[in-house]
Amino acid sequence: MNIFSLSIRCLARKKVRTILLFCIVFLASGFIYAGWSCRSASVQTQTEGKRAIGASFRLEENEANRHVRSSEALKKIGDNANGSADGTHVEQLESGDWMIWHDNSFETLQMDDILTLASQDGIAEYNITTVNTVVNAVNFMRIEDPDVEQSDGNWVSLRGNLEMRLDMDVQSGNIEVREGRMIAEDDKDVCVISRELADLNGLKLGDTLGFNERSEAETATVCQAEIIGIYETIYKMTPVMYGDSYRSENVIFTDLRLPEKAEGHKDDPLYQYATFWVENVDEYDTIKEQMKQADIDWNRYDFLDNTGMSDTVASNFGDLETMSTIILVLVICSSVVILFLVCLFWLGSRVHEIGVFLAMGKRKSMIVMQMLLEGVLVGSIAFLLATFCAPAISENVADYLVGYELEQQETEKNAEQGVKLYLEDDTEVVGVQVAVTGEVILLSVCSVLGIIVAAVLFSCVSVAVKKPQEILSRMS
Amino acid sequence: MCVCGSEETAGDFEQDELSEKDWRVDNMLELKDVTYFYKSQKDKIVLDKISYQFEKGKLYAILGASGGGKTTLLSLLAGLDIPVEGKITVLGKEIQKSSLNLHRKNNVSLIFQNYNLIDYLTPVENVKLGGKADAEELLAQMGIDEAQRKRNVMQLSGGQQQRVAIARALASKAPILLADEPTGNLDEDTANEIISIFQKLAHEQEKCVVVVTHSRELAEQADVVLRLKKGKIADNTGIGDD
Repeated sequence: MNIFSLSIRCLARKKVRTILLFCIVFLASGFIYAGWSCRSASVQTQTEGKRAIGASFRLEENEANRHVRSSEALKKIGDNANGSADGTHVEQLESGDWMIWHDNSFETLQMDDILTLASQDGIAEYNITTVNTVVNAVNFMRIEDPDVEQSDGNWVSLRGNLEMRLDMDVQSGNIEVREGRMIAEDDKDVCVISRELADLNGLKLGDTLGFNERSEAETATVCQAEIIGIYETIYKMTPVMYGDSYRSENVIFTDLRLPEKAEGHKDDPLYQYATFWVENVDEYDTIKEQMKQADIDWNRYDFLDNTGMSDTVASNFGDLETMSTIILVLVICSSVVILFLVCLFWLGSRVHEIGVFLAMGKRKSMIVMQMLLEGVLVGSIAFLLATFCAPAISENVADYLVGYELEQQETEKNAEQGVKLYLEDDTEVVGVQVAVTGEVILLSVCSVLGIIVAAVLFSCVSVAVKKPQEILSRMS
Repeated sequence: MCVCGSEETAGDFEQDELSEKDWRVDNMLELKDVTYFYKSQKDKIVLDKISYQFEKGKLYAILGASGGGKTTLLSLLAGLDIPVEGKITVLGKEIQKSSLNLHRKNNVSLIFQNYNLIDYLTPVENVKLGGKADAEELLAQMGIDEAQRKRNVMQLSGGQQQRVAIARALASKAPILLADEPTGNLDEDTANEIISIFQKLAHEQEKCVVVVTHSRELAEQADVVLRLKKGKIADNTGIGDD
């Protein structure tokens, strides 16, 4: 009778023991599946004010990844040291306080990544938009709220576009250029201003506006731009921060590279959004999947689709990945310990059987193999069943983790209330996608197999080190 | 000096099963100056330079006081342990020099007082563990009927279980049968039946049957009675001395 037949008979006829082992492996497998799935979960978020238009996709910087990169750069610079690394700068002020800031190279979308995405099949056109850059207006006055005491200077916002017609506010109909024309890709040192600003300053097409760095308004080099268009405001554009520098009428559209020159950072642009339009709307979903396969550093970005939803990978959603890893480690460790104890107890009740086998000339390795085979057989069935239940278990665990993470974020937000001056978009989680992929199954198989093998082998040490006579003595 | 060494001895080479030619040799199993003591009690000698030759076709009964080393001697013969000094040979081949596993598998069969059957198997399956012999036929020879053969082995009586254990021992076709108090848990009638089976195995099947026992009845039926006293062995000792 071979060890397979023996194992099958033992499992079938020692039902309580088999069921106990089955339940433990089933539970462990379910949570291991959940752990691995959650590590690669995709959290679908929708952020107010971040709705993409038409059949397009929008690329933005991922906030969580920004924190990670910042932490890594600070580590490179070292504790209590002045220095710079990867666009992050640390400087000790005369007061003794430390100042940390990031330059445009740290914040900007990478042009190579934008071009990679733009070159994908099915993409008809794309646009790049800079961050709203606040600069000093040299030869004209901005529009101000007479009821608000102004604490800043004569500052306005510059917004650069590769193609102005593809700007978000133009596309959504917030503004319309009714005099002159919009800025195109080949234009250089040109701008389009609001009707209100033109009227206030008596500006017309062909006039030249001067801008320079706001912190050194008196001395900084002036950058000039010719007015090629005047826009009418249909609906006021939503300001990105408080204050008249950002009010809708003070937003001046420019060519893509003007804002960086105006703020004194030539050749150091800060691209905030890149938008991509598909050629054939019917192929929208296919192109979306294809673009996601593009070889760029996706951790750095959020990728919004036409529903305004962004699939944020677990590593970029708070501590979701860390929490998944903790769950995974806890489940694996506790499973090994529990299974080890069960096997030890199991083995204790099988001393008689082991003694008989040894007396019959069976090798210890074959006895251990039988134990292992029994564990693997029960484990396989439990794992198979867990595979069917894995999507449901994983989804529930992911929902719980995301809910917990959101609770934490809410608490932090409440604690920071009043500290932040800028308008923060309200992000809502609209779903969590947990996929039990082939990779997740493979990782789970390895984990469960590892647990069973480790637990059985550890528990069999007591058999391996004993002489047959000692085992037989325990029988009597 | 090897002190109660590990189970396996140097090398793990195959020891051939005994051939028919080997069977014709009378001197099957031999103890040569075998000494044994426990690691923890080195001053207490359990077996003291014992030498003896066991022959085929004979039923041996080993008597002795409790703790006198009877079971230890049986363990050494079975290859479950190894002597501190001296050697044990089967047909002139030293068992310590080959694999003890193979010695247990091919040369000896063990029968215990508490039967030691595998509790989740049927009698037929238990016998099949012993070897490739026809389990049904062996069990029939032992008087286990067809219905009993298919039950769980734990549902049989003590006597029936011991018969199954003997059938399992026979299934291996080993020439040496070692039994440790085989009738200890049985009533008188059943014990007599088991003794009778042992006699048949020795005399009809030419096996070398060595039985450790306290049973006067069994000893009276044995061809040779050995007595263990103070670690020494003496044969044909008066049974009443025990």
